[in-house]
Order: sequence, then structure tokens, then C-alpha cells
Amino acid sequence: MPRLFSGRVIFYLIFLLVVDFCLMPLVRSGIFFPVLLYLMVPYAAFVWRWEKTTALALVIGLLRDLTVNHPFGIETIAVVVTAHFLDIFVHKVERDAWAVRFMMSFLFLLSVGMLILVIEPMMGGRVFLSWGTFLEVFKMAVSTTFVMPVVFFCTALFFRDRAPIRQYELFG
Amino acid sequence: MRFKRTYVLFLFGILSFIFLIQRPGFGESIHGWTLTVLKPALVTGTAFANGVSHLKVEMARFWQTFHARGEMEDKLARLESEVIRLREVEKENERLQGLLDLKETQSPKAVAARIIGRDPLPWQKTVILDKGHHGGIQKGMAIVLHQDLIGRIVEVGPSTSRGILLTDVDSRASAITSEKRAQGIVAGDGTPMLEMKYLELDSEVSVGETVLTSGVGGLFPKGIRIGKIVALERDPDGLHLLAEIEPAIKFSKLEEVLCLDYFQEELSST
Repeated sequence: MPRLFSGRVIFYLIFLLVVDFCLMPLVRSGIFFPVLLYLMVPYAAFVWRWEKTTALALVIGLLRDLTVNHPFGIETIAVVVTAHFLDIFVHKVERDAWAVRFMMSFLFLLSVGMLILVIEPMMGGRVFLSWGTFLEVFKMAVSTTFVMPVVFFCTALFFRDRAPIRQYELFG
Repeated sequence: MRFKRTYVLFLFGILSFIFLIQRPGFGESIHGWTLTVLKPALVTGTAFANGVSHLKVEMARFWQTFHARGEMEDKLARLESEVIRLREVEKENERLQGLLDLKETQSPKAVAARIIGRDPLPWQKTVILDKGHHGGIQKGMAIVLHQDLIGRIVEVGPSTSRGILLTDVDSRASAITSEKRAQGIVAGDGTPMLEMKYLELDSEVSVGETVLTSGVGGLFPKGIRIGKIVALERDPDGLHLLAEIEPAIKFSKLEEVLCLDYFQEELSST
């Protein structure tokens, strides 16, 4: 499990950011609009089991705020607030079950998108929450959750993470 | 417990800082500098993506060309005779211009740029270009490709810039139809299609007409193609016609573009 500000983590976050900007447009169309960088927050919560998930979310939010066409600060606020709640709920559920991971990742992504649409008009942005933009957020959440297993697999490969060994009581 | 308090205070400090630094132009300058720093990574990523995309296209094109080589030879012969005819027309045009003493309208200065990234936001259609201030790009420049309108520059950094495409919900261009000369506003709606609003009910526009920029407002030069009308209906308010427009350009396939220094030319000539 790496440290938050290690070079490996920062490099991987920038790598995902570049993939989102340059490679994902090749596959994005219509209903399929995944954003890979957001998936690092659920990964930290489910796989690394960090209490520092919110701190990682701050780094991810700042990275996106520095590059994406938003008033500065919107992504940071949305990702950090949602990650904080994700971190709380993840401690109360079975983290290794994929159904739980899918559901919670989907809710995380949907919440981030909705929060951005609520905050952006307050900070002088151009977009606001309407049925059209809600549909775009929904598509983004569904398609990003869909690619979650692939991203988790690649991330585990990069960081050489192994599934924690479970210990069972064999003798009562 | 102490860690949690420090953590909460730190978060509170960051959030307050974010609200305090909100002022016009701050976001633009910070985006410009960050994208300039990330430019080598974006250029590498885009080169890889373009390589993959080109390979697919070239394979398909090879097979198509192989099967269509007979047709191509006939087409080449026709085009060669057309070129000869057009050269004669051009010479006649020059002679007639000289007779009428017409001044040639100067073409706007153009800066070529490459697209190195697209914003990963589902409701925004913006692209990142590999040139900024140092490359001659300025805010407000029109972005075109092969005489077709693509969008406008909205942010400029030292060596990168951001352009908003016509299909973005915040994009507008004053337009005119090629035949009936009906004026309206072309707007993006986040989908690959465009809409032309505020057409007069008695304007007699028809499906199939080409839509061009009208030059009104000074944002875009006059006469740049936007697209073709594919459907017509009444506006919800019932006072105007609304046309659905198929853009002349496939926005998902853009790689190299031209940025026109039209706005600055107009200012210097007045």
C-alpha cells in the first residue's frame, strides 16, 4: 500500500488524467463516457482501505481543477465532500463484494457529477442542473462504473496490490 | 482525535482558500500554465491515440482504394481537364479585376495548431490545442478546417490554448442560409448536431440548404460553412422556425485545425 504523496501515486494519477484527455475520446460516444481518474477514489476506499481516501480525493480534485474547463475549485469541493461520505459508508459494508463496489462507486460518481452541477452556477460557471445535464451525469456514472473492473485490475497490477488474505476460524 | 481536528481544519482552510481566490481571469491563467506543463504528456498521449486511429482508417482506405482504382483513374482524368478550365477562369478573373481596379480582400492570418486533448466532461465540448501566446494564438480567434467552422478560442496559455466547439451548449454563431439568405443564430446543444434558431416564419428556407457564417457581431468571418439543414420545425414559442443542422465537420475526428486572426484584422482596418 503506497503513501499518498509517493511518486508512484502522483505518476499514476497524471497518467490517468492524460488517458482521460487523449485516449478516452477515441472510445467515448453517445452514452459511453467514462472518466477514469475518479475511479481512484473508490479504489483507495475499497482496496487500499485508506482512512486517507479524502486526502487522495483532494489531490484528484485539484488535478482536475487545474486542467478542466471549470471555475477553479468546483471539482475539489465535489470530489472531497463525496469521498468523505464514501469513506464513512465503506467502513459499514462488505468491501470485497463486487456488487457493493459497483453500487457504491456508481453512487459516488453520480453524487460527484450532481454536486458539480449544483456548485458550478454558484461559482460563475456556465452549466446548471437540468434534465439534459442530469442525463449526461447519469451516463458518465454508468459508463465509468462499467469500466471499473478493468481500471481496478490495471491499478492493482501497477501498484502490485494483492487481495488481503482472509483468516477463518477453523475450530470452534 | 488530534489528527482528525488537524485534518478538518486543513480541509476547511483549503475550501476557504478556494472561495477567496475566485476572481475573473484566475481560472484561465492557472489552466493555461498547468496545460503548458502537461503539454509533453498530452502530446505523447494524443500521438499514440492518433496512431491507433490512423491505422484503422488507413487499412480501410487501402481496401477501398484497391477496389475502386478503375473509378479513380476516370475521376483523375476528369479532374485534370477541370483544373485546366479553372486556370483559364482564374486568369480571366485577374484581368477583369485589373480593369475594375478592385482591391483584393486580404485573407485573415491563420495559425495552424494540433488538438492534443479533449475535456473529460460529458456536457462540455472543448478541445486543447498545442499552441498558445508564444505560437500566435489569441483569445477570440475562430477555429476552422477546410473552410468549415469548428469553434472559437476561449482560453490561452503560454504554449497551449482551449477552444470551444460549435456543438458545446454555450457556443453561438450568427449565420445565414446560402440560397434564401435567411439570418439566424446557430447554437450547440451538446449533441453532434446543431440548431439554427430565430429564422423568420416566412423565410422559405428548405431542407438541404447550406448554412454559412454571416459575419454579424464580428466573432467569425463571413462565408465560412457551418453545415446543412436536415430538418425544419416551428419553435416552441411558435414565432420562429427552428432548423436542425448537420455540421460540415465530424467533430470527433478533428486532429489539425487553423486559428484565424480575423477579429484583430477587423479592428486594425477600422
